Amino acid sequence: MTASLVALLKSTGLSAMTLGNGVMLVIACVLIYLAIARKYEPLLLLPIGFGMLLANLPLCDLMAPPTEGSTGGLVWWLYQGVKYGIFPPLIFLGIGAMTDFGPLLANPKTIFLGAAAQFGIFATFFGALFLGFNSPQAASIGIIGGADGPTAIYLTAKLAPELLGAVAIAAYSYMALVPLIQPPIMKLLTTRKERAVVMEQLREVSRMERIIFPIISTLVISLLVPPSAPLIGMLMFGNLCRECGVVDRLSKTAQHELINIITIFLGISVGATASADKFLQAGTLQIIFLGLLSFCIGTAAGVLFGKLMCYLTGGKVNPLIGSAGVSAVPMAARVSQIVGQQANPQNFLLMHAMGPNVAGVIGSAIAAGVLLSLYGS
Amino acid sequence: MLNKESLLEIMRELGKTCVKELIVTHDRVEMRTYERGATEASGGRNVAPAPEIVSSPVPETGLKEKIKEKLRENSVEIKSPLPGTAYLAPGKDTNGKALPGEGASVKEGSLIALVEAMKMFNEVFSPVKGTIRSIKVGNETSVKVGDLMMVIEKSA
Repeated sequence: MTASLVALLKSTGLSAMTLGNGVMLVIACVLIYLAIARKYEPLLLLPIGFGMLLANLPLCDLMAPPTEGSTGGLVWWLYQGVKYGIFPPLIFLGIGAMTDFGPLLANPKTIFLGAAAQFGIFATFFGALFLGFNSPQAASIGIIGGADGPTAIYLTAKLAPELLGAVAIAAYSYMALVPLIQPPIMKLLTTRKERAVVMEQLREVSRMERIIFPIISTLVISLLVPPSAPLIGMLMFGNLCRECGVVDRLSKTAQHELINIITIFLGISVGATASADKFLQAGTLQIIFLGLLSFCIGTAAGVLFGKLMCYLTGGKVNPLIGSAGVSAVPMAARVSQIVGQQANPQNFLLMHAMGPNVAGVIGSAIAAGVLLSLYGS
Repeated sequence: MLNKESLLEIMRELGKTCVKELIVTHDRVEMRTYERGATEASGGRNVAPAPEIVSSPVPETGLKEKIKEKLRENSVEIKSPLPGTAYLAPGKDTNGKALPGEGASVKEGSLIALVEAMKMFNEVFSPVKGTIRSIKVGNETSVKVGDLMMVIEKSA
């Protein structure tokens, strides 16, 4: 009798629970709390948190690969979309359909701000190398500073899948914290007078320009940095669907149903990669620290380049729009708007900041392509 | 608003035109004009002093323009700073903040409107102290950059 009770107890998950599992379950609940109660990027942190919860339930084996006699866990199958780099480009398809490149086309020089803010990626790459990560790992950590979730997941899944959970969580947490991280850096590097600069109204962008832009940029970028092609190609195709005006149904599906479905799959499977043995390491803390550093350097580089442009144009560019070059659309642009309006209540930078902001998305996808061509197998 | 001097000035101006009668009601200028010699003109005899003021609307708008101009010196046009959805409903609580309606007095820097773009409520603040004279666009209508949203009358 006693023996059978013990056997029953052993078949439950409770007996197989390790300390690591327990800690991971607590972390998962913290992420779920942050997503629900604090609204930190809930669309991603909630699925990631719950995926983490599922992956750390002992004996449930949701992340188990198929073996002789078993078909494999549900989440393992979902994860194949991340592993083979399918989900992030599909997310980009939706982002492309949602993005208005108008502010960038109206003021094309803001593309330099989008490029400058990618500096954090490369600075952090060297920081991570210095801390003892290998090159592919360092590249995956640096990309956190691109502030672009799908790009970070795409690159990390290819270069250092063992870090995927930590990198994705760091990337999305910092993106949620953009309104806290950026303003002190922006204020430190600019004078009140610079922040108060009111920018000239943006010109109208013609339909022709809007249609040609995604085609040309796909051609140019994919020819120069071929590994960027999946991300840039999908981003620009989504944008073409949006701008051409003849495939409204495709555009609507890409920016609503499709991106939502993929977000669920992506979030749960990325969260599920954070198993106790991979996540509970000193390396994770280093990744979280380096990710923050990457964000800060990217912001600072964008603002400093903005100052340079302000100087070169004789005070026509507000340096605050530079910080929007770290992608994080549209949060980073909103931060530029808020900080700008604090200095001058009649200042509206939002649309001006959208230029570097969308340029930043392209910029981090290119940076990912460059890193892939350097360290991809 | 109408003192003796300005009344006299209006009368002098009227003398130069073909307006025969002007009815002024209290504070607001309510003008009714009767064209001098209109009957004659219809009869085929043109007695109007100058061709550009033959018809009655000319002097009327001329006067209205004058009054408008006077108001314009004192009024500040609030234009939309960015493309989006304008929130201006008087007394309506939007985003947790009450917006002032027509006739409300505002201080420099007080919130007068919201323009929602990129899921962000951008606050529009009054650049002057004064009174909101008129709101030009409906609540929750979409606006482009530079669209006139409201007119504020500056107060001393």
